[in-house]
Amino acid sequence: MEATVPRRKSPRDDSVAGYAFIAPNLLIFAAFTLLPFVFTVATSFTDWDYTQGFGAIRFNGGHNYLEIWKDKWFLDSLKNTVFYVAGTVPVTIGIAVVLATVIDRAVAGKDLAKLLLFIPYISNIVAVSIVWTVLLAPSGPLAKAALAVGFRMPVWLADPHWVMTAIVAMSVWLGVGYAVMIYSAALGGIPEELYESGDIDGAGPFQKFFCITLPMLSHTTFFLTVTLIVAGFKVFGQIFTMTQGGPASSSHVLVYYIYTAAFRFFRMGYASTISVVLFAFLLGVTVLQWRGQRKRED
Amino acid sequence: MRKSALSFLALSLAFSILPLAAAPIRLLMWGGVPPESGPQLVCDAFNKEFASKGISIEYERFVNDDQGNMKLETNLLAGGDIDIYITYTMDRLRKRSTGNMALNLEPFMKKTGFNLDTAIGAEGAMISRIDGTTYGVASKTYNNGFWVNKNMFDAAGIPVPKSWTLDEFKAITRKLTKGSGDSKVYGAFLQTNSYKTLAAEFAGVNLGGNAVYSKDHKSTAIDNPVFEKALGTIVELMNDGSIPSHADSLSQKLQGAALFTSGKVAMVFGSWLYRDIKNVASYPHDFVAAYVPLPSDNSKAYYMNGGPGDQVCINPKSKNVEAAWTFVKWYVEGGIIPMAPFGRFPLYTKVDMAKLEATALAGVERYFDRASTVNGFLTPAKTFQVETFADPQVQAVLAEEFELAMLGSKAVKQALADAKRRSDPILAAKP
Repeated sequence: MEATVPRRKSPRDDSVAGYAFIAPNLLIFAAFTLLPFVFTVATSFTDWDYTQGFGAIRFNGGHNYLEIWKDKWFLDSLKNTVFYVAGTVPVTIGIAVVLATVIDRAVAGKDLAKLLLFIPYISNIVAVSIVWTVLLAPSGPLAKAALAVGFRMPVWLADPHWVMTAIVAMSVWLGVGYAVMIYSAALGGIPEELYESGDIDGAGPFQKFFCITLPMLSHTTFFLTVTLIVAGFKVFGQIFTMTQGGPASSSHVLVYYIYTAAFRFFRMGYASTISVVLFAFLLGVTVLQWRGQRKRED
Repeated sequence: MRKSALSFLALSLAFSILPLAAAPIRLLMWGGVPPESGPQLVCDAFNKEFASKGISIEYERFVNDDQGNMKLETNLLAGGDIDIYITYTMDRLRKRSTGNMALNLEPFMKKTGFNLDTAIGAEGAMISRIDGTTYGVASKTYNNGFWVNKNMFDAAGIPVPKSWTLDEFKAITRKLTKGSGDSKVYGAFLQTNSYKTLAAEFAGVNLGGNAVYSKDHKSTAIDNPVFEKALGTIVELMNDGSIPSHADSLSQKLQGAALFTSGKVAMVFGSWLYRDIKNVASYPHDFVAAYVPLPSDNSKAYYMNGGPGDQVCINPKSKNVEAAWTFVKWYVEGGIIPMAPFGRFPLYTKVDMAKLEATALAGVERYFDRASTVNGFLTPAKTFQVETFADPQVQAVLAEEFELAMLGSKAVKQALADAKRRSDPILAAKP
């Protein structure tokens, strides 16, 4: 009698099973991310008023990619977005690392402090924006308090020179709680022995902060820098609610201009071009993050 | 067996068709006016009159701003939930007509013997058509201008003008400005936070419709000195504190109705505020409001700002287009009258004016100066500033440059030159 040998599982069987498992996710990804992305890239080479239907799509080569560099709205949006990122990222990280360290060293009320800081981050952006609009108004509490001590504040949201600063300040307040949470988790991972040896060597609190805490948090800082830059390039909610890109174009940012070009100017092709350029910026940041991470791991 | 099966099938079909044939039609209408400001009364009247014919209508408000209109258009593109809607500007009517969001109404007009020019006049017909085809029937008209506090005019010894030039407007505004701090009364409020291109409206009163654009729409015409005079007047009044600054208007989101009825300003731009001035419960006051049209330096012709509007459109995806047209025709031919007390007056040429005047001022006579309100506000002007072309990018450029001038960030001349420099290439590049 011949012994039956169980059939060996081929690597192909494993592949089929693997693809079957990821198929639902892949399909959803293809339908809602990949295809729209491909469509956006294709439309970016067209002049398309979407209200006229698909028949109105006109291929115009790379004209849109040349036009954006002469477009005041795009250049203002790019400048304001860079200002926003350059303002929010370092300030948010700077405040968060100090707050997280102070909270970590505090004896009581750590969780409550973290919760209070985190609330703005999970609050509705429209509600928060309305509160800040009232807060920053010339008749609002901030202006009145400043006037009481003899200082006249700018008309934040109606002054082309100050409006982005006001938006940055509000966004820092909004995002600092998230960064504190991430830093707090990372602080728990720093071995206590390092601080004890610092004590033995006679290090003060500032020395310990700069020579132990900050270097040990560098991975987290790197992670936060990248995620906040990406989030900063995508800012929209507060601009839409508080300023509508104004006064004039002084608070136009890239995503707001994508919205304006598509839904106010009906230029879907041009809006797609700006989307692709924004994607390229974000891709650049992500590639830098990958390289940085790989270097650190090596 | 086969016979009974066939009978069953026939009965099933009959029962499934019968309810459809007898099903009442419920129309849905979207408009920018709050339901309590007239539309609900219109719907109630229609529902009463057409109950026997099995047609009724329901009204839903959308906020008539960029976001609200986008919401409306998204709904129109998505399907046929909305049957009827109101379009408020020509650029939007054009977009909707060419974007399969507004139905061609010509076949319905022909079928029901509705002659557009006879029914709503030449200017009404002009803004109802896109490239010669009717896509929305203009239903209302109004004379835009200022509401002025007659008590303040009387106290200052200034007669309420029937017409005025920009310089006269400036002089009166300055004369009516008094006090300081919290007790300051401004001569006027121009609502520039919402109407950033107000100077173009002022210019249009002098020049007529489409004043911003050249005849072929390939460039702008804002180098006309009338624009500089209009924008310059507004900026001058802001700079000397006779009207609230644009910065205050923006940052405090100032609203004309509240400022005017609380006596903080002597004059307010926007005759649509008629419905707020009437609403004494929400805006308590006891002075008399008089109407004055916008100032113009043109002694030969006056192009009334405002004019025909509220084009009633039908969604091409509506399942009840016949019933929807029944409503549109009924509405335009006088169904709109319940809107009059709220500041929307019928454009229909055969409407009973005496009845309209009585309806509009019933119960609120003491809050309005009857002579200026009836003769200036309610009686349709002879010529209107009708805008049939507007480019959204150029409008955005104008809003930005005018805003910079009003904020003092740019000189008026420079702002207008920059507006032209930025706008002309946009128009030249259009097919």
